[in-house]
Amino acid sequence: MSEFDEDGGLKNEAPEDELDEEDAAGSSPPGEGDFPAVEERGVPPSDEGPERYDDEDEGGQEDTGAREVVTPGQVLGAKSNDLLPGFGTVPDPSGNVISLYVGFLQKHGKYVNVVPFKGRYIPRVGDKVIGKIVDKNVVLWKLDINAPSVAILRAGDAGDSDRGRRDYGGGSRGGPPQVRRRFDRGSKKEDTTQFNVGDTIIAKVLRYDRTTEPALTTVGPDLGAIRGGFMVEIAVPKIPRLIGKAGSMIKLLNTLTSCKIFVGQNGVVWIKGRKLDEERILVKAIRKIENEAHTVGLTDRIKEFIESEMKKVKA
Amino acid sequence: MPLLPEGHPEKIFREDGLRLDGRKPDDLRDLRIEIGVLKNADGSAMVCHGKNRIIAGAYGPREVHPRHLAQSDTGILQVQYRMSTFSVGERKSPVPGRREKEISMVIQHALEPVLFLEQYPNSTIDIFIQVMTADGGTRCASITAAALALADMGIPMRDLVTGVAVGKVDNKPILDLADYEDKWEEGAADMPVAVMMNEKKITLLQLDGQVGIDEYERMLDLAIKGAEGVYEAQKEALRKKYTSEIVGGR
Repeated sequence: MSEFDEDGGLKNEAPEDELDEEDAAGSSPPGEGDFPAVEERGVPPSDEGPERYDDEDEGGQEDTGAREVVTPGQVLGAKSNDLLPGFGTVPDPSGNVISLYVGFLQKHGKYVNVVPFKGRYIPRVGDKVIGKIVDKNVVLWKLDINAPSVAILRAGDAGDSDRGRRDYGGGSRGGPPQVRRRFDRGSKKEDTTQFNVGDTIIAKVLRYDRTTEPALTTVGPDLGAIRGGFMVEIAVPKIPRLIGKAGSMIKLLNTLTSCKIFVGQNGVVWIKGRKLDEERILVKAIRKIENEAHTVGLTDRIKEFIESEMKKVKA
Repeated sequence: MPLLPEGHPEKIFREDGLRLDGRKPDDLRDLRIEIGVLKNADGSAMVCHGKNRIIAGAYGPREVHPRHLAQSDTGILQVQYRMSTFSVGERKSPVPGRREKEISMVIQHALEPVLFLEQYPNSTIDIFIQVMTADGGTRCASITAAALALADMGIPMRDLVTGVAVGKVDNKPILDLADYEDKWEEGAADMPVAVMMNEKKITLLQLDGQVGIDEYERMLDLAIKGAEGVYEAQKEALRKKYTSEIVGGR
């Protein structure tokens, strides 16, 4: 994993070229209209719908100041038109807004949100996740994506196994990729020879309604088997911070360490760098983001941190 | 012969009216709580309540095994309460007995009201509670620990659940019975209570012994008052754990 294979790596690494900054940022959380998972599940959503807690990044946060740790059931105030339950909060029978998690309290306009410290990944349609194949049969694979159940990848929802080789004509890096004719068309192949048990795969959640296993697809940019690199896990609620506003944090990490990064929404981060030192610094930086996810001005501090670490390595 | 002789005190109150360990009738025992004690559990907590040492680990939501237990309209909560063989004076048989099954069941019912299980159909949340040292009131301390393990796991909860026992000895209501007070037989009753403190809803109430209506109400008031102390300790432990984690870093 330390040596970056400039030429030989290309033939096998279908999704790799996609994993540069723009696309990795593309895996950032969906925009407005995407309601936090909890609101979809029986917890009554407020009428207007809360704004997403992770929209708030540096700059917008100055007014919140020091963040308070709240516990489940803690009263955050009486519900009124100026105080509405957002993410991680619900109204209780006596009309107070209460927290559902152990987490940080955030106020965003009229809404109070609680960002939990931990939590299991609950799939949402459109999420790009990194999973490991745990089982396969003639028509489908089963993937562990850290969700309450295994995810299903049907043979028809997986792209062609030879797609990668065709896309990067000739194998020279930087050359224009060929037109991807097979995208969005699915595969004509209906067998499961493409991936094997133990493979790690980037996939997108195609369907999920929480009564059945989530269905995945590998047809699309970025998606497919991962070769090389390594994986780091991070708490799911902290992923918005790792990606940053419009992918700012991930772009920063990418440019400063020149490692390839892909952030799965299920809390798995794939990293592939050219140098061991850069990879090590990147992992440290990710841990720092995870630990300081609640703080203001994180992007600047991470920048400083990486730059100083880089200097140490060079010295 | 048991390792520790089980002494039966001759009196349950001292001359000055305090209990044998120096507590007032409405005092709790020492309470120490740690969060995140099990590295491989999704959430965990240890509660040291008096001489009780109880460790709870929570896992999930995850797939149900055996499969036939899964319910397609709601998730399930599975609780396993076990006493270690060395947790009591005389060696306890490791076979799960009638008592352990019953306590597992009542703890499950005490915790279910705070969870949004309907969000996790076909899934299970598992809680494993191991009593390392028992000293009376283990089911209440177990509920306290299990609620913290769930909160540590990061699952949405309406509230924490707080367990505390009340009882009476010599016809006097007392809070948080120790083992020897539990075993006292004259004018005695024992009432474990679990409360959701925010809404003051009672999720577990058992009663062993005979009490009058007014006595019962006094005991219940005492239980709510005691539960407040435990609840504060629970919240404090959660805050402390996450504040220290943030400051300490990795």
